Amino acid sequence: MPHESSNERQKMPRILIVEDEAQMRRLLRHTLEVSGYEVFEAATGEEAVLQAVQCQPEMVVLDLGLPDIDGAVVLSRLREWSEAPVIVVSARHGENDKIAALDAGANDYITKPFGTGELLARLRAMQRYMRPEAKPKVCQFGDLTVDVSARMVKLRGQPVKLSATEYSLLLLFVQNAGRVLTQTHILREIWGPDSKEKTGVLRVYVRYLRNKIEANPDQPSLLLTEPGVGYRLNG
Amino acid sequence: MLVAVGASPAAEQLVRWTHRLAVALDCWWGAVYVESTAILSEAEQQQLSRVLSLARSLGAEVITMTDPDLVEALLQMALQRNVTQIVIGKSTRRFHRRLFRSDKWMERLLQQSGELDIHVVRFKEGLSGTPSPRRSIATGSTLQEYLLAVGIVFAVALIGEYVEFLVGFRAIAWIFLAAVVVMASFVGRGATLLAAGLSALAWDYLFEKPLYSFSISNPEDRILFVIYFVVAVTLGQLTAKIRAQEKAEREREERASALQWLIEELAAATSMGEMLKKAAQQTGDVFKGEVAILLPSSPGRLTVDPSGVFEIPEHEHPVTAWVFEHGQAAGKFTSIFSATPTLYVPLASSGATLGVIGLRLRQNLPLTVHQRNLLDAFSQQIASVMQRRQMQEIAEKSNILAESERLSKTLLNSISHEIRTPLAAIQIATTNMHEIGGPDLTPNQKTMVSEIHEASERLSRLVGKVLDMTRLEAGHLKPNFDLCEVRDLALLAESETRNEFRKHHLTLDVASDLPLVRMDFELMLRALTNLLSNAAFHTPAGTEVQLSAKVENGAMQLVVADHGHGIPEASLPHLFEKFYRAPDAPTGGTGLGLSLVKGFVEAHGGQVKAENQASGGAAFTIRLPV
Repeated sequence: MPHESSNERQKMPRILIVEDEAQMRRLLRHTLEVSGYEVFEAATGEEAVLQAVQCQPEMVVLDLGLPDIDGAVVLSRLREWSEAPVIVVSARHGENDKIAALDAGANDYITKPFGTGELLARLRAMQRYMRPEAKPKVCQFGDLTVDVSARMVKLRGQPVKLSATEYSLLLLFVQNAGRVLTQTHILREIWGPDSKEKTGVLRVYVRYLRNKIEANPDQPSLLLTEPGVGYRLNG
Repeated sequence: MLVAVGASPAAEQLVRWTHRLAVALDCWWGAVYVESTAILSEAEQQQLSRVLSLARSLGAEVITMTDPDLVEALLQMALQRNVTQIVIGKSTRRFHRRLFRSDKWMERLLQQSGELDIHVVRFKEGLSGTPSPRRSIATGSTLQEYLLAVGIVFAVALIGEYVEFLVGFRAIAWIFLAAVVVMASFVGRGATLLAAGLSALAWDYLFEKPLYSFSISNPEDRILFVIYFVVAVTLGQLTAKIRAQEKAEREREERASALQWLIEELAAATSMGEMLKKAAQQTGDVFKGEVAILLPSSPGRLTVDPSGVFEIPEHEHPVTAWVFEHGQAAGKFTSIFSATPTLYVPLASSGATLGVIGLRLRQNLPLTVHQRNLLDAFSQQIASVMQRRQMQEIAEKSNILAESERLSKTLLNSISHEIRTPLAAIQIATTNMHEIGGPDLTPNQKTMVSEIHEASERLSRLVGKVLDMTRLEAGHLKPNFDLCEVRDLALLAESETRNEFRKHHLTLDVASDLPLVRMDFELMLRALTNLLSNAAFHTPAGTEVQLSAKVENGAMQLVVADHGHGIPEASLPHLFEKFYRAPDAPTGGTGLGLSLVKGFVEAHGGQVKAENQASGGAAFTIRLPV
């Protein structure tokens, strides 16, 4: 597997699992340990906050349905002192919880029941995002090449002309490649803080962007829709 | 509209006349009988009850009042019932009018009627040989009372013989007078009159000089004789009248307390059965007869409630059915089915007939007007208590139903939630085996793992559907509206159902210039995936399924069309019902998918419909307002 380079094996990334179900905890621990993580566990929100201080995890998998305190509260307490990326695990129907958690500082989400591969892929994407040296000047996404320093975008080697807004939108996605971005977040970043209601505008720009950067705009493979939440650049 | 009736055959004409007018005007009408101090004879009572039951059967409300002033009572009743027209009768004969002094009260009624319309209707007297409506001079005394009267007069005369030498013959007249007055307080009017006359004659014959002759020589005694006679008769009459009034009062009291007692008994009953039993018992006691209560068991069928005390013979069933249907009394003492030995009265409350009460009297005497009214009051009271109880029972039942539904929903919800966690564990474990442990598995193990995985996914979808259903039914479903790309929706629906379409051909036909549609993306995605799964499930492998989206008639149309066998005509109207499954459907479906689609789409203010295409196969169309 590509992420298991000799470099990473020396220092296993520490990961904290916050999950109230013992079986799920066991399963996750096993899966993650097999994949080369050092795993810590917490069964409640209070315990999670304590554990986080003790083990200083590099990543957190946080279930939103905790018995004692709200997952979002755990998240905000964690965010008081830690920038460690957090993946929230939510139940189906929990769109609002998901969005709230993402807006409160979670980096990504995953919906129960999820496949292990999916979880591992998200974790890898977050790891990449966390390493500053891993943010190259030129990024490659399938047939798409984005040269951030030169503000150059190429599809299959052909230059793509983007408007200023389209470019800043693409740049935002490139900088957060692999992560889900909520609509609110995107709107705030691109159109400013008072643009919460402009989802229509966002949809239109996403359509423009897809028409320009997707190999087949009718079957987008790069700029993916996250139902009810936002968008994610596949990378 | 109000008609004033009395105990005369002419009143029947009046009632019919008023009925015709009331029907023509389509208004409420009532028949009023004002009971004054006059005492009715038995024949008159019967006549009156004939009149009142005629009025009742013609749909009038029958009101009886007690008031010495007829005019006052009529006007008061008119005011109370919001009556605008009063009907009264007048005789064609001057003589009768004078006899009734009807000219006089008619005049007063006209004077005081104010805003009311007064109809004075002419009637013909003596059409049939029914008893003359003259004010009662019936005696109301039994043979024993007459004998007693004679006996007392004889006894007083005897005493008089002994004491005459002490007090003088004039004082004897006072003794006679005292005896007559005392007697009037316990014998009937006829006997009192007889005693008064007899004692006057006895005094004249036995005590007044000349003795043993009816001639009175002394003018002073002549006056005494006349005054004595007048005083005796008047006193006797007055006493008798007071007694009659007392009796009427007592009867009224009895009726009122009987009704009161009934109300209390019925209110105290804890169940419908007990209530009916008490009702039957009370009615039987008060009317001195046997009572049966009939209740509708199914529409159009009456069954005898076990609370009754007599069985209703087969040939009386049409009578009870008639009473129940028409809401009018029938049977004995009425004009309908009068050969029946039982009187049947409807148990009616606020316009609805709830049952029939049958009364078989022990003595074959017709019911008096008051008894008949009391019976009506009884049946009304029983009916209204029944109605209240029935409503209470319905309310309780629906409460219990709502409670049990709530409980089952809660149960379903919590169980579904509980199932999901272990299910998620199974799914994680199986994908784990596939993705991480894949190479180490034997082909057999691989097959088993993928079977487990598939089963857990199916179960997970089912639990998801059940949860969606409970949310829909609980009304918790509030769409998060946002402007969305229909293309995104179609693509995601396609990718989410990819597994199910492994053996089918799914094609997408989504115009590239579709407008954004206001919807809850997540919900519509579930609606669409449900439609797609449904198409994949119900068509044979290899079937073409097409998902198309276009704007038509100002609405976004999402169509899932297949080229399968189509939907049986008989199933079409039921497709979207919860748990409905077409008879020929393959096993394994839940019957939830399409009802969820309907619920989700309707939460968006849209519609979903299913039809068979002319070219074969089924088509499901979702229309959403753009």
